[in-house]
Amino acid sequence: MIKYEGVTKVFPDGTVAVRDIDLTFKEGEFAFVVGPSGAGKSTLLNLLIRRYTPTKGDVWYTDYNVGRISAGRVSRLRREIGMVFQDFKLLPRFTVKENIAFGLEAVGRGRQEVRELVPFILKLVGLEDKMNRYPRQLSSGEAQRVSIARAMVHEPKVLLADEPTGNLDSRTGWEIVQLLQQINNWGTTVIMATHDRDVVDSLRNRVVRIEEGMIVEDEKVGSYD
Amino acid sequence: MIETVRLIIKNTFQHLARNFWHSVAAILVMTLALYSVVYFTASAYRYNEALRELRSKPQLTVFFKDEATEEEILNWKKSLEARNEVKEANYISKEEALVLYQQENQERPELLEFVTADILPASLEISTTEVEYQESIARELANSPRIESIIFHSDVVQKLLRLSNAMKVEGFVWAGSLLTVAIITILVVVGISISSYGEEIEIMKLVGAGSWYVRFPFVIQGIIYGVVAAALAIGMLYAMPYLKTAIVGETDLLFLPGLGTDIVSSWVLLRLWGAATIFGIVLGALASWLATWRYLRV
Repeated sequence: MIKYEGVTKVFPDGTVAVRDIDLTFKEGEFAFVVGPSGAGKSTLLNLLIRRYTPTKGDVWYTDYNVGRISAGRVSRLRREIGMVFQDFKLLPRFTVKENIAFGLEAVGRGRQEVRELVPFILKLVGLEDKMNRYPRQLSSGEAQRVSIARAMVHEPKVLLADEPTGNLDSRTGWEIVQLLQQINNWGTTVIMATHDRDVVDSLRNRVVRIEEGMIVEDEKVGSYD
Repeated sequence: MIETVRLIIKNTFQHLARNFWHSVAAILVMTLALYSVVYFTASAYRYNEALRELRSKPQLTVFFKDEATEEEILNWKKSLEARNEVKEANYISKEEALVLYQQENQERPELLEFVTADILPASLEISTTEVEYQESIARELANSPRIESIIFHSDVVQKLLRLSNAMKVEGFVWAGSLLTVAIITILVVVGISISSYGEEIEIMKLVGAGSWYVRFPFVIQGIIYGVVAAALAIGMLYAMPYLKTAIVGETDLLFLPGLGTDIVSSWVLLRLWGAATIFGIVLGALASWLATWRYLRV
C-alpha cells in the first residue's frame, strides 16, 4: 500500500534528512517509527503527504508516485492520508466544530451533511460537549483529539501521527494512543512516529527504527530498544 | 458548486470580520494610494483641458493697408475660414476699430481727440484650431502687398508648445511613479494583511483543502478592498474641493480657466471611478493571489 523505494531527502541547507530508505507498509497495519530527535521520522511521514518531495527515489501510495502527482491530486491524497501533528495544527480562529467542518466544506460537502457528521466524529473522540470552544480553551489532550477528529473526518485509509503524544502527559498520551488503536481496529492503517518508549513497549506492534536518516531495524513485533 | 460558492463567500466575510482592523488598515492605505493616482489623473485632465482652451485662443491679427477694399478683405476672410487650420476669422472694419479703440481708452480723452476711423486700419482676427498653425498662416499672408502687418505672439506660442510638451513628459513620469508606488503599496499592505493567515493557509493545505478553496476567499477579500478603496478615493476626490473652498474660498486662477479649481465634471468623476475600481479590483486580487501563493506551496 505504501512503499518507499531508495528514498533520499536532502534539504536546501545540505541536511540529509533520510538516506536510501526502502520500506513498505501494508494495509491495516499499526506501525511505530522510532528514533531520536532529528533522526528523520517526521521527514519520512511528510514525504508521504507530499509536504516534501524526495531528492532521490520514489514514494508510492497505492498506484500513485507521490512525488510526481499533480498539485490537484495532492489535496486528494491528503484527504486519503490523514495526518496528526505534535503541535496539533488547529486553526486558532475557528471553533472545534469549525476546525472539523472546514475539512468537509473544502470538498464541497453540503450543510446538512456537515451538521450531521461533525457531532458524530466529535462523539467518537469524546468531545461532543466542546464543539463550540476555541483551541485556546482546550487542554493539550483535547486539542490532539480534535486534530485526530479532523484527520478522520474524510475516513482516510491511512493515518499518520507525528509525535502525537509529544506535548502530552503520559496519561493523556496513552488515551490518544488508545484512540489511534481504535481507529486502526476500524481498518485504517496507522503509522506513528514517536520516541515514547512506554507506548511502543505496551502495544508490541511493528517498530521501524531510524537513525541519522537510515533504517537500522524493522521488527514485526518490536520494542523501543 | 453552489455550496462551494456559498462557503467561499462565507469564508471571505469571516476573514474580514475576524481581522477587521487589518482590513480597515489595508483599505485605508489602498484608498490613499488610489487617491494619489486619481487626484493626479484628475489634475492632469484639468490641466490638459485648460491648456487646450489656451491653445485654441491665441489669434493672429492681420492689419490691412488702406487700399484694401472691404470686399477684398471679406474674400480673405472667406478663403481663410474654408481652411481646416482656421477656427474663425473676424473682420474688424475701420469704424469698428475706432469703437474698440474708444472703448479701451474712454478714461483717457486726450488719446481720443485726434483719432478718426480713417487712420485706423481694418483687420482680420484669426483663430487657429492649433497654435502650431499660426506661424505658417502668418508667413503665407505676409507676402500679400495689401497687408500692412501681422501680429502674433510667436514667443508665447513657442513657450506654450514647449510647456505643453514638457508637461506631457513630466506627466508620464509622475503618473508612472505614482502608479508604481500605488502598486507596491497595495501589494505590500494586502500581503501583510494576509500574512497573519499564513499558518492557517498552510494548515488548510496540509489537511487536504484545495488551493482554490483556500485562495478564493482571500482573492475576494482583495477585490472587496479594491472596490471599497476606489469608492473612498473617488469620494475624497469629490469632497476635497468643496472642503477646500469652504476653508480657503475660491481659488480659481482667472488666466487659466479651470486650473485653479479641483472640481471635475461628473462624467470625468464617473470615468475615474470606473478606472479606479478596475485598478483596485485587479491589484487587490493580484496582491491576494501573490500573498497566498507563498503559503500554498506546502
